[in-house]
Amino acid sequence: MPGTSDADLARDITAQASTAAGAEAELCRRFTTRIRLYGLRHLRDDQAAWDLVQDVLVTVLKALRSGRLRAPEELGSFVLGTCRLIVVNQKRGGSRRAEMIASFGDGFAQTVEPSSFAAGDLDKLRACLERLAERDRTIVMLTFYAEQTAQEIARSLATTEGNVRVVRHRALVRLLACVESTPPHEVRG
Amino acid sequence: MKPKLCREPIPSGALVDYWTDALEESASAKLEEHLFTCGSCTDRMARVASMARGVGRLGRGGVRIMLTKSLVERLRTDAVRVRSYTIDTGGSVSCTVAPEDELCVTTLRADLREVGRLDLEVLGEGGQVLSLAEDVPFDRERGEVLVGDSCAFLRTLPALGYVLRLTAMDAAAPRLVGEYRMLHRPWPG
Repeated sequence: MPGTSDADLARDITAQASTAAGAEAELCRRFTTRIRLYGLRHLRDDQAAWDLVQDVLVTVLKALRSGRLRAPEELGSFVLGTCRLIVVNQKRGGSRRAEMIASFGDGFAQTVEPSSFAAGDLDKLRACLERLAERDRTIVMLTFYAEQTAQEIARSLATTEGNVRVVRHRALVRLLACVESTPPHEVRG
Repeated sequence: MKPKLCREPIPSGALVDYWTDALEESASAKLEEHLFTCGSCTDRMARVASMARGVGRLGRGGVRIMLTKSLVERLRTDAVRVRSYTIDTGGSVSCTVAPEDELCVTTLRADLREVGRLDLEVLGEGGQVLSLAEDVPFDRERGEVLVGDSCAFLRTLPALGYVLRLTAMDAAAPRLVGEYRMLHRPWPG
């Protein structure tokens, strides 16, 4: 099942084939991280992102079971479109999520149980952060800890928004490369 | 089973720009379309998100950092236990950290009106340079440099004295802005 294409998963679910239950579980496994990342990026809230995962998967599975997805090869786009619609609706204040999830059956919650979202090796990240220039490190912290926009950071550092974006981009690419490439024993101390 | 590799992987820079909301809307939408059909790039996006989350965790005193006024305010809002010292040019302070402290904020005061770039050195008791931080952020109008140190690190230090030295680097020759003597003692309890 893990090697099956997205389109074949969609076909199995729509056809209610003997493999449909496995296909549903695999679809949930495959799209949970994608939907969650979308939610974190657009909602900036952990719980809201998990809620989005449930809402989207329920909507997508219902659509597949009822044969409403006509082009199975476009499953990814369909899931993304569902994410966008639900986020827009949430921002407008409309939500029937409890009712929707309840109507889907008791077993659903287990199928989308959050997998662990690795926090990363903090020691390694700390060492990589300490390798950044002071100003770069401050900008990274203002971005991810204080959750400030480039405009707000520019104001507090008496520089331009464009400069903040350039410095932040460079610093984060460097930080990511360090975290992904450096063995822990090389970055300690 | 090995995960499928992406034939056209999204560059790391685009992933970090997406996560920091620095992409144009159309580029962001295109990137999302790719993520929803590509497990490999989703995994890489998840690593960027994980790194951002890790930075956020380290913001609570987990790493040495030059601070801004707004970052200190955010730390206080988040109930981070902050120990503060303020020193004028040429001054000294006896300092320590309590067991419950998370971050030590040292405010160095100086006339910074004519300064473009500022470096910060840490000197040992014999005058040897222990560390050099180039181009540190500072508040020109308030005449302040805010140094944030991890209390977890400070707690490991024995009784010792050291000097923080600020140097303006934008003139033809480096110009001493100020020296600040720190007399650290372990928590007496």
